Amino acid sequence: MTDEEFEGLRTFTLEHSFDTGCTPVFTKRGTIAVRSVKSNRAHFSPNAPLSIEERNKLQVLADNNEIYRLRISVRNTGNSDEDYVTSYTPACGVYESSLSDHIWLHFDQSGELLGVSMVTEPSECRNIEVDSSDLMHWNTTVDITQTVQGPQPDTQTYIEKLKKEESEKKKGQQSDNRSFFAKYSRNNDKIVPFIWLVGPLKLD
Amino acid sequence: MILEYGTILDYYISMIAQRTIDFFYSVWPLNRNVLETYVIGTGYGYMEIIKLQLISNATYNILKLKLQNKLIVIQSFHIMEKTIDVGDRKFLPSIQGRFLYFATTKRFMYSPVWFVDLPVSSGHHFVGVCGGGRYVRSWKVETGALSWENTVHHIARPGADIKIKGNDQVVALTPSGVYSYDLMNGKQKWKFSLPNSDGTVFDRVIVRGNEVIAIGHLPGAHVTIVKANNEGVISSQKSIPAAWINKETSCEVVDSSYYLCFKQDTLTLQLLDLVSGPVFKPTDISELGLAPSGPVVLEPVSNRGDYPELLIRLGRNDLAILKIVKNELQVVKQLPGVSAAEKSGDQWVEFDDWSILLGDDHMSAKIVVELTLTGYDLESGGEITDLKQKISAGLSHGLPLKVFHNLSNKYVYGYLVRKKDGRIGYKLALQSEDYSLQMVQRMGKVSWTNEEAMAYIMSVEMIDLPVSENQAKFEEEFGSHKDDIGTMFVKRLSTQLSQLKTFLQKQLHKLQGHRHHLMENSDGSVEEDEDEDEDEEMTRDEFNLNKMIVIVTSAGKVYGMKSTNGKIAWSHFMPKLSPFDRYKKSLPLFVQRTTAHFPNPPQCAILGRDMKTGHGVLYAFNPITGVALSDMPPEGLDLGYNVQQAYMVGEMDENFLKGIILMDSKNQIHVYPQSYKSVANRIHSSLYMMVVDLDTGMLNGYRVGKDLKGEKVWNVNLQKKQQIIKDVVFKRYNEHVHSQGRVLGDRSVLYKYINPNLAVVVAEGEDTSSSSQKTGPGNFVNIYLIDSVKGHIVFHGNHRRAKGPVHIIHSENWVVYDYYNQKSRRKEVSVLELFEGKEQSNSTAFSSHTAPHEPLVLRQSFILPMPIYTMATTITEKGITSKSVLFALVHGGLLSLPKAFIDPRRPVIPTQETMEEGIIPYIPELPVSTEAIINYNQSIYNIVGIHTSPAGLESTSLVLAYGLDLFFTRVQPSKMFDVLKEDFDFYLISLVMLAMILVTLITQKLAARKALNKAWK
Repeated sequence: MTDEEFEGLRTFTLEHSFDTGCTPVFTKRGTIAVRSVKSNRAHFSPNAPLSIEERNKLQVLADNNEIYRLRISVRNTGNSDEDYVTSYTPACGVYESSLSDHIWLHFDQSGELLGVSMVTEPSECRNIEVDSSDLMHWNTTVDITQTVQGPQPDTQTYIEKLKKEESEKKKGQQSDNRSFFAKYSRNNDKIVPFIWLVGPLKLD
Repeated sequence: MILEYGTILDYYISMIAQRTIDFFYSVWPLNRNVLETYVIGTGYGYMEIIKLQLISNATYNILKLKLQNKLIVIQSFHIMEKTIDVGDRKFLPSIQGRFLYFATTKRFMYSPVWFVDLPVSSGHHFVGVCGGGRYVRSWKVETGALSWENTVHHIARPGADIKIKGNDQVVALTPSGVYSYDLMNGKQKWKFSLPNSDGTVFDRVIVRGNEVIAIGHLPGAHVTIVKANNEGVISSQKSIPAAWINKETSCEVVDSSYYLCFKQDTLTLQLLDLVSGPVFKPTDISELGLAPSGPVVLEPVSNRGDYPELLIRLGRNDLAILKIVKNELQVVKQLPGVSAAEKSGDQWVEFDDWSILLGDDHMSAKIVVELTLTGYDLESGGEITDLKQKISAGLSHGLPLKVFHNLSNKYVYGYLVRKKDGRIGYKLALQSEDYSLQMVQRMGKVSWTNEEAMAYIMSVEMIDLPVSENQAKFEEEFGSHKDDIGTMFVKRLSTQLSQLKTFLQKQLHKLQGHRHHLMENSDGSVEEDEDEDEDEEMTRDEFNLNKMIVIVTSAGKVYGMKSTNGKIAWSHFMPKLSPFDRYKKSLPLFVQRTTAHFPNPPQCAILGRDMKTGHGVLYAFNPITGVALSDMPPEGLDLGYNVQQAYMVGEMDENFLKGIILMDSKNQIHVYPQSYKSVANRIHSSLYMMVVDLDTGMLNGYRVGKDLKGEKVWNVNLQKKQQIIKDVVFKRYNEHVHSQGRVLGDRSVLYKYINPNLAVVVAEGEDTSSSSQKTGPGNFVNIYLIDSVKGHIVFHGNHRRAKGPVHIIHSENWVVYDYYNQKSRRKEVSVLELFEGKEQSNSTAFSSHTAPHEPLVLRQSFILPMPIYTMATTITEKGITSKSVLFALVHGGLLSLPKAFIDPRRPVIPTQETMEEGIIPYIPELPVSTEAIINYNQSIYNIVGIHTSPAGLESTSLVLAYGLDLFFTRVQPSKMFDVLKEDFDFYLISLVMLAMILVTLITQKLAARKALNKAWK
């Protein structure tokens, strides 16, 4: 798997909805251009400022403690479950933050889009009134996360450490001008069983 | 903090008897005076030999069950994790339906090398084809020691059978051919290979005089019969066209000379004469006057194909006996309403002055649905009145599925007895729908019952026992706030009076008790004593260490077990209940109300699926008494819809009852109990659900709308094309996290990211990308931490060249999981620890919407030096005690390892700061110390789960490991910091105290006198 494989420019259509209920209608909000998954470079370009109707809808949603939804089209098979990844956030956050939000796109190791999530900044709702004119333009940051390599036992460094200690030990037989700690660091292995016996007594 | 003085002795329940027995083979007595017999049971990956003693006095005792009662489990082999397709050989010839289904799932999970495909026993030997036709092994029955082993084949393939010819020859059918060995030393006598290049599966071998016949079939094509002589030279080979045969066709050998198959779709029996028949002869079962009421299955009599009779199962409790005479099928007897039947053998054996009728060819005993035992004379069809018997117990076990009643000289497991006066007695072992095994004696008395369902535990909860009567009264007094001062005063007085009364009663009882015990000792009975103990146990002890363990098994049986002695306090069987198997076999048990809310009784609920309709089935009951709620039908409440997702809400109603929220397949939200609906309506905006769709690899998030309708609000696509979701793990709902952060060496605090909605999703897939071509095909394991409310992926990691099975522990702010590293060929354990950072976002409440979205994920891996079955972590009352991780090791140990060893912050090169913090320096391998094995020498095998529960003492966590064995103990991960040591010297301390006081008083006096004298001067 080479990293260059999915380093080309890719664009995703971002859609949003101010509807409530089980079958919301989505409209286009803008596009996200992903320049590089690896180095986390993506940019959001909005479609158009929010219309008055949309702003009013948003205010109603915020007042009713409803949610604001968004989705990203992934592919085109006609099956809405497979074609989109969806997310939501409390509408009051969108309203009170004056459309400042942070969108994450989650990609897997082979560059497939797994999911999207959105947070407004600030995310808490304090019941503040926002002027309608502030609800026109999105102030969006896009971040990309990619599946990271899981941890592996760090045998390499450990063996190096042991070797270093051994050579130091040899050196130490000639001259012993090391610090107190370095002198006894090889005994750390012996401390372990001691800590094991004593360690559990220590409370979290 | 020292709470109180207390004694804690480690104690154990080890129920080695809890195994599921699929086969019974019994060996004829070695010593005829003390009739000893060995029963061999084989199951998935284990074999056990049970020694039974039949004592030769007036009563025939079969001693089984408890260890001290001569149940000797000589050997239990554990299994290895390796997926081998053993195929669909029906190796449980007698147990079908649910049982077989279960068996196949289990086998798929771990088909072991030690798995015994098919065994047979003779005298001192027990021989079996093992490991998917790869080995033929022989064990000594007396010791269970392996006497010889022959490797036949290197790849496991379906098809195995084994027979013993004469007294000294083993004829084993394996996928690569038929082999003959000397029974004593395992030397190969001859072999011949089978014509199976076209995919024909040979699965039957018959020894008939000097002839050896192997039978195989190819679905959709033909049945092949290969005959060989005594020297293993093939004498004839023919293929009989049988295009109707398919994988589901049930076939049996009858009378060693016929091959009878049942064709499900046309309800036709196909009979083939193995000696002379050129073709199958079809007979409609309607011609025989039989009408099926369920799936039809052919069952051999006594697991053997050399009887002329055969059983045909027409429904759950509808059987008929068939017989083949001169290539003609005959119905010997129809047995409507009969759920299990067995034929007696064919020999008489003299035993002292008793004549044991080990078969008189004309007899057959059967059990009918009301559990009435009836005997029939097979020849005349008449009933043997002596055998008609009602079986007293067993109604809570469902219908019997199989009577183990093999009455030849080789199999003794239940037999008929002709008494001196000419009447007939019997002894039977029966296996019931709830997997229990019962031994029934004369007069329908059940002499012992073995709850084999305990090997299939799905959910466990430990419930506090109720407080004693006095304490309950206190609770009552302070519990209600409606009373005025007057009534409260009266209550107070009456409580104290009753306290005095019980105190006096207790004292009186004590005095009487002593006398009682003396009496008992004189006549030597202990039974009453036990009963007395039982009454006392049902109240809570001082430290709340004794619990009621509620166990839900996939057999549909629920048990209440006392943690003190492992005795079953109550049990309930629901024949229709089956587990959910949408993405993980589960049968959830919810503790809706604990014992803490007196006078409201505790309440638990089981949520399962109806076996036939697939509807949700809910059963609510009192976990202490096992009694169902008053409006609850005994077979569980049929919810009438398919449950898609369900969970228990943390919010309690006015009766302190936690409700269960269920979502059906149409996304409609339901509530149990109905009265909880008002609460649900109030808090609906904070109710969310996550549904994992295994078929599409989608995670869907729902919120509960105003009209209690599930609204899909988020989804995550986990790419079904690449990987399969294997497991989803949430945190324990009753877990407390005491410390919000970790204090670092520089005195700053690293705050934990404690998200109660966090789910761990693990997926496995095969690596097909270009880079894997260099290194060969590899697998990968992906791990996702997903907020189940918001749908936000908090962390996603990938392990290349790694393989499952992945076991996950999810607790506090950490996740520990294991996998097999294909590159290094070893098991590894990884840990992820999540931290918010040096600042905490909200210290009072957690909201998935406002929490930090990118917590710090510290991660590290360790080498696990030993293979494990599963793992779990300890849990304590307040979460103050540090945690331990419990590993069930494959070699039989239960290892308790402090979590501090599985810490991602362990530094390779320790610094002053980490030393100060007390972190252990990093060593790649986790230490396995024999001192940390908490079960000492009581090895436990095939552990499928470990359940931990808090006790009243903060330092103590209760542990129940279950699988083939049950094992219960307590662990103290931080030692007994809240209990005084047993050897605490009270006398010395009080003596010193007294002396000090005395000295103080004296010196005070002396000082005063001195001061006075001084003043006078």
